[in-house]
Amino acid sequence: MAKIFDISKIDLEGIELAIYVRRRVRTGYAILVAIVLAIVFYAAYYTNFNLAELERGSPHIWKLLGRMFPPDLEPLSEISGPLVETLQMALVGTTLPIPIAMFLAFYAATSTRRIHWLGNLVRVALNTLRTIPELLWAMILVSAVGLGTFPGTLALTLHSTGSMGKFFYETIEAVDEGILEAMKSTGANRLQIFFFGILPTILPNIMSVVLLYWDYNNRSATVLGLVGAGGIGFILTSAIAEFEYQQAITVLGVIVIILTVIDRTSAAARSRII
Amino acid sequence: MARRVGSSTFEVAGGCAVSEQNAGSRKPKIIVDHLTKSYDGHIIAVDDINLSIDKGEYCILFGPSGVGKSTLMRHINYLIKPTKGDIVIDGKRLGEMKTKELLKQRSRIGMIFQEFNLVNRMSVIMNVMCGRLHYLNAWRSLTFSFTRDDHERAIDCLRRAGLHEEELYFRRADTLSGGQKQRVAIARMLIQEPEIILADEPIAALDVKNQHMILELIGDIARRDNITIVMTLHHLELAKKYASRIIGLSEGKVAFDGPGESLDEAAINRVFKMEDGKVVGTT
Repeated sequence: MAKIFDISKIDLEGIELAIYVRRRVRTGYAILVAIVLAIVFYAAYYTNFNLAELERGSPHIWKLLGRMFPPDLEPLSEISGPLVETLQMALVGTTLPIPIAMFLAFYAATSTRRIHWLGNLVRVALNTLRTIPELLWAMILVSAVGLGTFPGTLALTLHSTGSMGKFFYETIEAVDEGILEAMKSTGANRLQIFFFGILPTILPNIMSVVLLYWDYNNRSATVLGLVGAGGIGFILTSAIAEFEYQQAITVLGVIVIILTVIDRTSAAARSRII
Repeated sequence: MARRVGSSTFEVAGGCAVSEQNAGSRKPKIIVDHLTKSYDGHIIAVDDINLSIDKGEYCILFGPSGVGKSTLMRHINYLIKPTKGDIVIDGKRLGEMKTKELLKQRSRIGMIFQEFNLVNRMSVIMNVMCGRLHYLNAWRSLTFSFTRDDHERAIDCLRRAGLHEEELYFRRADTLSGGQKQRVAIARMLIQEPEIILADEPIAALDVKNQHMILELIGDIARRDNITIVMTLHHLELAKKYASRIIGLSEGKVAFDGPGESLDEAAINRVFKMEDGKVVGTT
């Protein structure tokens, strides 16, 4: 943290100085909070966020909810295929990026890279992959390779590669320089330093992140169907498009249950690792 | 069985060393040749240092912190590359070596550190076997499979480093005490069958009892196999007790060079740039 103000220039001593500094800090925070609130209110005004509007619309919301009940259990018979498809997309879209991201991270991390510009190039590439949301990737890929689960899986892979890659190289950079030095001093080559010095050290972090992205990708995979990239999302979209709200609520329910189970599993596994 | 195989290897290594010395070649082991290291072009860490270190010398680099001791030492295995000048080991210039040759040279220079630098999440014996990485082929590296011979050598080295309880060998490195960790690091260095030992403040993180034990251990090993030691140390008394030669550094230059006995108050003041005779940090 940069120095906010220079204590040596204040003509106070002891407890007086402490109280003065404390007050200055408190005023500083108050100003900061005021600025943030002002920006938020301006944003709300600009985007027409209006609670009165919400109240006026509430009867419609209730009506819509009413039309969802009782749930029509008919989709359950055809849901299992797309559901398994969704989970498979997420599984492949999480596993495939691991080796790719690891490979790229090796070239991007300052402690392992040898060519400076190549490292920067890899970082820019990872950043681009990560910045484009998977739904957008899916739209682009659907128009490129056609409808189905393949563009969906590819979209998850691309986005996860970017995100995991960034996390991996940051974790590699956090490995104690001394360990690398010790490995280097034995005459080990770069690959050996990576496998024996870095990998064992970062393994728990990697597993934790992979689980997190598995969880995340399952959630993402459910909406990829919106743009025709396969999975359960397609059934949900078509149910809503055909005003079959009683079917939509059933699909939604299944999604929520499955995602909750996955979320719990991932969290439990991660807490064991860390 | 394991012990016999391991120790015979060391006897061969030791034998070679002795015969080399008997041949009467008085060539220095390490030559520091006009070595200069500067950062950003103006901060000079090591300033045109010339040294010649003979085989079997116990050299201690001594001086206040930030004076370039560690930097100088890290040039000897080229963990740091010089801005000007070079290091010559057994008549060969490190700066002229190809990567492969340099790795081979490094594999014969053992190094230990203040913070031990073990891979915490790996077992003790795996940590020791990392000293054999130079001899491990690519396939075995990718599959983390050291040879039977490596295992035997590792156990032998752990015993030589004073770790006899076999229960310890398969524990994770971070479960050990400080003194034990440094012994593991010493075993990792021993398995390299080093001709030179570099030690960077090896006892600074240890208690007084362990400090003496570790320095004695290193000294014994070096004497037995006629290994050259270059160590940084800021403990004046310990340096005097163990070193055969003390090199005092001051602002990147050599301010004192000689046996411990001749390191008098005037020399200490020169190293620490002190005038009132008071020396800070020499407990």
